[in-house]
Amino acid sequence: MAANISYKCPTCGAEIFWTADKNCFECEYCGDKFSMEDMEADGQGGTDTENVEAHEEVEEGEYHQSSDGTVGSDLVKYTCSHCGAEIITDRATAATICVYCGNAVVMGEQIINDFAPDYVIPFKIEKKRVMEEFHKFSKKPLTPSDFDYDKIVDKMQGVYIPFWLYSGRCRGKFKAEGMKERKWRQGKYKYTECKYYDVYRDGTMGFAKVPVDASSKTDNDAMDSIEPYDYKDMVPFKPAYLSGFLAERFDEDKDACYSRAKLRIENSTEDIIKRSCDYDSLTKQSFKKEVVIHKTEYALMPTWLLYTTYKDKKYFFAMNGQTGKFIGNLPIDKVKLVIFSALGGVLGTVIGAIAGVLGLFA
Amino acid sequence: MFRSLLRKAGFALISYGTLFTPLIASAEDGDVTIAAVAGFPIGAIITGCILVSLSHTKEKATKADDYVHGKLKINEQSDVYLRTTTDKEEIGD
Repeated sequence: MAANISYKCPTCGAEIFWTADKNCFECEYCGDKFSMEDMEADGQGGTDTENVEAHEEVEEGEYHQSSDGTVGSDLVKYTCSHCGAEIITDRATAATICVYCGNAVVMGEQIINDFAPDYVIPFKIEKKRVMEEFHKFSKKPLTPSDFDYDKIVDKMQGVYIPFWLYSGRCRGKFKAEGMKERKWRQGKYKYTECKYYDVYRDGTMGFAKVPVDASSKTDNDAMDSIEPYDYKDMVPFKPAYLSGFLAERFDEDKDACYSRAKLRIENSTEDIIKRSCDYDSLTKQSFKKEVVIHKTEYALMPTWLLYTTYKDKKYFFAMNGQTGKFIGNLPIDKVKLVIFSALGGVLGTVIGAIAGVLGLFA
Repeated sequence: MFRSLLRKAGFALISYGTLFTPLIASAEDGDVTIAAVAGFPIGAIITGCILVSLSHTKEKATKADDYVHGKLKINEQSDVYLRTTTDKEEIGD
């Protein structure tokens, strides 16, 4: 069965992709540019929910890895609507690129009905800039000399990651002992006066669109680390934004992801309430909280992802496809770590000796 | 990984203690040697921690400060005075 939704240039009919740095569709053949409105006027951009074709199941043992580079073990089959090649991909893949003809393919069945996203933030960072940023990022003092970023950076993939966005409020009841300090000098004495209070605050704080990634295949900490996304670029979802990139649909529902959002909301509420108390120090006694979520939305966020292996150890890097924030854990050269630490130790010895001479530790 | 780190830290502490304890023990109070010797591990640990943190940038999000909507609404508040303590310290010459 042919996977559907590929996008054609309204001028010349060639395959057309979303261009991140120009914020439009650009045809590689005739050079014409089109906005989303132009594509919709041409009858493209939306999803024909009645003519969506389904995937084929992969027989047990038939394939062991995807053909499009997506990560996952639950594989299904589609047929490229352009060249007829077989695409083996993860069940949760919503968009991919045919490795045979290079055309963008959007799996309609993964973005309609219950899987239809509410919003998308289109890519703003092109691959060339990703490569430059990764080069800068990997130039750290402890990075091994033989960590060849040139070889691996080309494997970075632009992927739309599914996120649940939680909006609601948190009511917190905070009890603490607060202390106000006053210091003064009189004659040859220094006085410190501390006044203690029993502090109670009952406050409510609102939150809008707290994101939690909804894919079990991506590392939660990594997706947290590339935040925040700027929601001013968020637009109502149109499948055409996915063309030229990979995309995943959620495989963890909103109830499964809720606890992560709840924890973040509660912690922020506690901090905000603490900051509203005008004391020099606060010793918390109790904090009771109640979170009420009034809206949960589903959005696709742009990320550049890289999975690589170095000395048999797996590494994962991610870049926010809108803001350019780069994160990951680089490999560490232990010899360099020991040398730099020893140099730091020598510096500490010198500082300690100077402090000793000055009598700071008498 | 945690056990490996503990083993390495323990080995480093034992080595450091073996090498420098006689030196510290023979030094008099206020001797520069103590401050200088204490400076080495402190400098090494701080340098190592800073450099490792530059290479490891992944971090779990525990707050939602970027997604706050509106202002904090205080429903109820109270500040009840408990006690006062006063310390007095003689300032050295």
